[in-house]
Amino acid sequence: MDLRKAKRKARYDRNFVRVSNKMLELMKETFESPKSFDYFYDQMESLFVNQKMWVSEDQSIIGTFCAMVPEELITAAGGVPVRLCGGNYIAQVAGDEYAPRDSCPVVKAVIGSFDMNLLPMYSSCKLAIVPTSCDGKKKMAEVISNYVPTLPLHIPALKDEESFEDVIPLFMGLVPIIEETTGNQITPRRLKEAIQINQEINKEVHRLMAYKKMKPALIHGSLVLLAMNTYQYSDRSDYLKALRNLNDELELRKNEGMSLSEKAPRIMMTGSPVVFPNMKLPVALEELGAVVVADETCAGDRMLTDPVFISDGTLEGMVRSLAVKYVLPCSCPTFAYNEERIYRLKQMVKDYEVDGIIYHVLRGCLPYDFEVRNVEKLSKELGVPVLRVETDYNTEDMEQLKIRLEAFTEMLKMK
Amino acid sequence: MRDMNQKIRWLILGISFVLLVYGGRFLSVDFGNVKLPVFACPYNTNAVIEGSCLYLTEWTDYLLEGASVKSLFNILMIFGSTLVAILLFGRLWCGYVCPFGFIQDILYKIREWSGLKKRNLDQKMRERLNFIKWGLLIIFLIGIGFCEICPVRYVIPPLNGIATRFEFGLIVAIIVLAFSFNSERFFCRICPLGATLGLFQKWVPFKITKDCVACTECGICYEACPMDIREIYTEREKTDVTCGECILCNKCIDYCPEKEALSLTFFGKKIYTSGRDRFYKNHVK
Repeated sequence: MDLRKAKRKARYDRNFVRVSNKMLELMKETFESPKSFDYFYDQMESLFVNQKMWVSEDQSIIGTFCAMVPEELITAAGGVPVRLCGGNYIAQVAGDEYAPRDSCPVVKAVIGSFDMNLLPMYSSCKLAIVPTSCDGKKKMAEVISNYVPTLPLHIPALKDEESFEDVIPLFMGLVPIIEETTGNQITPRRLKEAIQINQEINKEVHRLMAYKKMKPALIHGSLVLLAMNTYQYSDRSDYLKALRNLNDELELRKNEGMSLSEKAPRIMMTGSPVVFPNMKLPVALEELGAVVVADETCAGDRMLTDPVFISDGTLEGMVRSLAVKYVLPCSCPTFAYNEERIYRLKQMVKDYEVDGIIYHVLRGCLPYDFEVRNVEKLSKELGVPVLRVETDYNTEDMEQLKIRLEAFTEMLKMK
Repeated sequence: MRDMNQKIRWLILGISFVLLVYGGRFLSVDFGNVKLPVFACPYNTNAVIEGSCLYLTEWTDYLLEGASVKSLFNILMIFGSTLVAILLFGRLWCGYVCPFGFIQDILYKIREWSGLKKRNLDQKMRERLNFIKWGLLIIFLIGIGFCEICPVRYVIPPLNGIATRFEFGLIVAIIVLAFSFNSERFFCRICPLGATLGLFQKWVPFKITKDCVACTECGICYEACPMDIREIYTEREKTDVTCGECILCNKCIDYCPEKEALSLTFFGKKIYTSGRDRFYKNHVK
């Protein structure tokens, strides 16, 4: 790296840490959290502020994106899967040089993180598996192939039988590549163990969501979202233990009758992913007195709630089960027909007793923006108000956001 | 208890198998002209109750018998008991009682234990097998006599030490048993007796219903279904998703992870429904 770039990098590094730290401090100030929640704060602080990795140098880090990559294959091969979708404003600014002005901040942040090596895992990552979900990701794959060996994963845009059957050989094709990258073999037993631990995490996440479903809710949605984000940056067994502790403590709180305010409007957040430290939307909502009880974003609850069903215990059978889990229930708008998202939202409004929907669109995210119409139609059908909020990772527009959100939450409080 | 419904199903299948294949050896009950709509092969003289299969396919024999009161009474009992059994339980007979179904389930279980790969049949294959099924149904009901090509005749009587004349059915039996290893309940997809039961499905009180909003189209019901009924997972409007091919094994409900998305109803009342807790109990430690 030449001297000028090194100076720029020093500036970017400083500000990257500042932005991450600011969000953590804001959350710690705003929310009263259970003692066992400290694990999640600590993990995020350790990585984003202190730049310390949670894995040792010799473990193979394989980067993933979206919620469509079968990371159990990576864990089974002894690798460490990390979702590299970035959420930091400084990373977005760094990526501005290589990405078009109108592309979404997630893509810009990824490119910026690779170019300036803003977190240790971007430089130590051995392979990046990029699902060709949206246009931005497709071209991002090409750009980051200059920094890391990249493998585009062509998930089909349709979910009919013929298209889906193509996914299975595609996922099977990942097996030798992952084996070569990590140097270990993926055996059926190891894959079964990897799937098992994720199922256990899945079960604990469901318990956690149940505490949000309660009326009144037991825990703030921003905290749960941070916990979901932490999944990517921790060891699986440690994470499972931390979730169990959190759930146990919440159970105690439930028995003691501790909960959040009954009058708080219950909000469902849906749309473009909310990735740390870009937590301004749920944090602003909850600062204004609402509670984000339901979360249909792909970096939040939805990332860890679809289960795996194994009907055939051979390697190919289990890869098929993973394909079923990662593709069929995925309500990402990059699929051409996404009716199931509307049904999922409808069911969530009923399950979580939602008062209002906040539709989050990242500037430049066309697929989610397209579906605003469908959600507006649903909102009219259910009589639940919806508000479209467009923003990017800029930390300075939080006050402007709050003005709009305040009007929305006041309206909900009066209903 | 983990997988309770499937364990109950295996228990009932096992008891039925013992009674319908070997029962005559230790029970001296005579059920007379009451017949069950399952493949309890009448060539097997040790069956406690015989299956209606032979009587349905050889119905032309009764035309020759003449219209005496006794023969009319026999016909009424045989076909009447079959009809009542069908209208009461529909294809629950297939999923929970049929001894040939039990044999196929055992073969498929052996494949699971041996670590061999499952053969996934796609929807095109399902259409082709349905075509064969309608063909066999015509042969079955036309009165020519299905027993010559019936594979069960070469499996169940021999299990009892009874041999019958060599017919084409032996070859069918070998083919069907071979396929049953990799494809669950392979014969049930072409079974003419099952097809007959399926024709009455509209009037059977047991139905599988779906809450199309709760369904996330995760596809797990399709992965679990032994009959490859894809409509269970793709249906978005109708509530009743039972079709003539469904053997009511209820695996879809056992494994559906969404709350009350799939249910087994009896006269419209839900008697068994899906839920995330059961999914975790069955699949997660």
